[in-house]
Amino acid sequence: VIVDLGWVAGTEFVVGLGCSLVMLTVSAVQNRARKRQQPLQARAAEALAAWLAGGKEEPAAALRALPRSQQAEILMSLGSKLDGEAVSRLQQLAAQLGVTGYAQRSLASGRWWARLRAARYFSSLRVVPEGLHRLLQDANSLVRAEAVTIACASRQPEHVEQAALQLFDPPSLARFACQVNLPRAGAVAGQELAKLLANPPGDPLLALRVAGALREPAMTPGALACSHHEQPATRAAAAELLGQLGGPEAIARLQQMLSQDAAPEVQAAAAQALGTLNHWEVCGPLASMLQSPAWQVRYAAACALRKLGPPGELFLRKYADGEAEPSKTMAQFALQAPGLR
Amino acid sequence: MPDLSWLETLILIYFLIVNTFYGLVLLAAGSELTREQREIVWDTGWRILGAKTYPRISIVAPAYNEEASVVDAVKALLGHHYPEIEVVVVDDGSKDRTLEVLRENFHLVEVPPIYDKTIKTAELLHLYHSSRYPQLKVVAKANGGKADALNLGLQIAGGDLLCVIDADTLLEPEALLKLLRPFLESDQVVAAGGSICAVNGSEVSPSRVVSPAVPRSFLPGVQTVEYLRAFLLGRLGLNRWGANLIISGAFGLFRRDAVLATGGYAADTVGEDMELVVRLRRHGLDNNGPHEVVFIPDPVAWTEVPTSWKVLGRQRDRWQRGLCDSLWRHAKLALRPRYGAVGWIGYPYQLVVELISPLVEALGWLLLVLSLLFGDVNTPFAIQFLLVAYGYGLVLTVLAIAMEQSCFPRRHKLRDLLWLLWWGLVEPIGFRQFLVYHRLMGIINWFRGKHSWGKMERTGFRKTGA
Repeated sequence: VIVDLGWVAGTEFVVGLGCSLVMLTVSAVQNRARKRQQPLQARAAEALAAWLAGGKEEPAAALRALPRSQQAEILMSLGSKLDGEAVSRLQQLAAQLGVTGYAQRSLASGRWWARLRAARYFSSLRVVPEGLHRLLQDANSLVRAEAVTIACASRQPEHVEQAALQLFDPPSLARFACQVNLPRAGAVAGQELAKLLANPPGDPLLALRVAGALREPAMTPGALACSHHEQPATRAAAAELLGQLGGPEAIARLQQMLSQDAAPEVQAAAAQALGTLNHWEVCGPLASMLQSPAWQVRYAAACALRKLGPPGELFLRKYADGEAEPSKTMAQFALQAPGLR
Repeated sequence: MPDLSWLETLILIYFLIVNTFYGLVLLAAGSELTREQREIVWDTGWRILGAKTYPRISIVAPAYNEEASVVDAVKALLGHHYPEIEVVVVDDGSKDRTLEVLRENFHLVEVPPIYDKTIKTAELLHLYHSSRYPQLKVVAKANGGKADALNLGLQIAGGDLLCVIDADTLLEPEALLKLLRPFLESDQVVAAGGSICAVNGSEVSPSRVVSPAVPRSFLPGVQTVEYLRAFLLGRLGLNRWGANLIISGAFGLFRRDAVLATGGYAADTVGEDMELVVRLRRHGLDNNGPHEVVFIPDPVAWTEVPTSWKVLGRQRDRWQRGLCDSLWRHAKLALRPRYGAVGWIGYPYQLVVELISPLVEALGWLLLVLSLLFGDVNTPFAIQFLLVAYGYGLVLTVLAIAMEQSCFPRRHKLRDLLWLLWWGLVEPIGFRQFLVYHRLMGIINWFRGKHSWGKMERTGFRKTGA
């Protein structure tokens, strides 16, 4: 009330009207630019696709008609879908257009979003930039995530080794990128993970989960060591990995975990792993777990018995026909459920 | 300056506080949107699609008398861009042909119901798996309300994350990939939500929005603007301060273990979505566990908004009762240092801005009418005051539209933009007062202990070529 309300209202209407006009103008200009750019973009994309498919005509001229950001976008959209020789040609073209050089310079920028854009460009085109090790230690976790993707795609041991360490970082997108991309690095990542599991610099929970996607026999000693970890979640992940690796040592340890571990989630994971291994000699211990007070253990044991086929089903029938609960209900459900096997 | 009574002064002070807060929220939303835009530029979410390790997502969609739209909605859910999705549709004892329609379209086979019964719910009648879509489960249960259906669904589901979505809501294909990001960035996140837009007037084919458009009829039109402002300003701004207390019941992603640990949805409230989020935050903060709730503006869920005044009134009445209930149950959150931004910003915002505003507005209108009747009114001052309030709301609306247009331009046609501005202009006249009345009735009904949901009527989506 100490100000003139009429003046305030007037200002508001002017601001509202001004913003509306600016927005409408910008929108109209953008629509016009979009209409103008669309044929150019389509022509450049077509020329590029034809060239990659073996055409003679160089697409550089068509791409140069576009702003650099759009050149990069077209190159990236194709780069992420191609492989082998086609990607190499794309990389050469990008270098020729100057897009790669520009992205390389952007990596040194003080603005994290400029580094992020550049890192995304390199990861889409699968080019290893200079100073990847610095990028893997970037303060921004999104930039690190892209660096991890580049490192894993390169399959070079020194880069993969540094990338794998992100698994022990605090939760971030970089850690998840590592989780997703390490399996794509294949045997190199398997070797690095085996080393890390044997001598983990932190809680190996995530490393164990990723290791399951790679299944290198060299991981067995590490997985066995991790199965004694103080955290139940980590022991459960170790049991899962042992179930994927197999072998007499793994089976012996899994049986021990099934009967002796105090945590239900570990017992359940061990039961599931034994079912995966198709080791029918464990039917007896698994069936006894149908009496466990923990639902997840009973369920995992029932699923494992179904997976073991006729020997397991024999035990399930015995419990289903018996009187003791809760094993009776679980065994009956397991026998009726079509999707458990 | 005119002479003001103490009541008028109080209303004026309230007006200043609320609008100052709106201004701050606008600034925070702008800053949050800038960060968000920088993070998503050139992002390629495709990488997760070929991944071998990822969080499993279970979508739980409660359906009650959704015969008209349930098939389209389920098809859209099954077609999401994510490596492994489990879809659990819970038919909450529908009285129409919802279950039959699902059976006919998805080749359902009955299976024994094996699940860990940790939360008590109404009786599970049948559990079906689809023989055509292995990732689809349909649960038929006795009617117990939306919260009860969600509780059963979350126990049947097996994913790490739980996506809760109304059966008549359509998600953009990459919505889940986008909403997943906060969970990957931090293990402190318990829930994340995206924007909700009105689908009325847009073209849908076969279960996706192919041509978003601004509704041309009054009620859906003004609600489009209202939703846009609420999500892009309110939730985004509060997100900047870590003070979000609401994830829309129409579309949200939750950590399943956290929801189970807090006992699932409260079945004795009509605002179960807000109540759960507040409880998750409180539980996390009390136990030094994960407690963050994140709002991301880009992933969009499209939902049908009410087209009749009657249904809209019932909906807002229910929302207000839900708000009252959640704030009452968790009153201990208010102004406690241990609850940080939730206690100092989130809770007071919901209380002062969302809960009390209809009371104050109604009082203001009543005073104006009485003053006009008794000739005791300073007409120029009253007009100027109304114009200031109207103008301020208009500026906020225009800025919200501008933010959406510059960051997520879904509607490219200038005509649509003009319609949005038009609805922004007319929204405060009539529609706002209608909402004030029903929100006020919601508060009164909450005091009277009314717990019913009220009937929602769906017309189904407008299909291409239809």
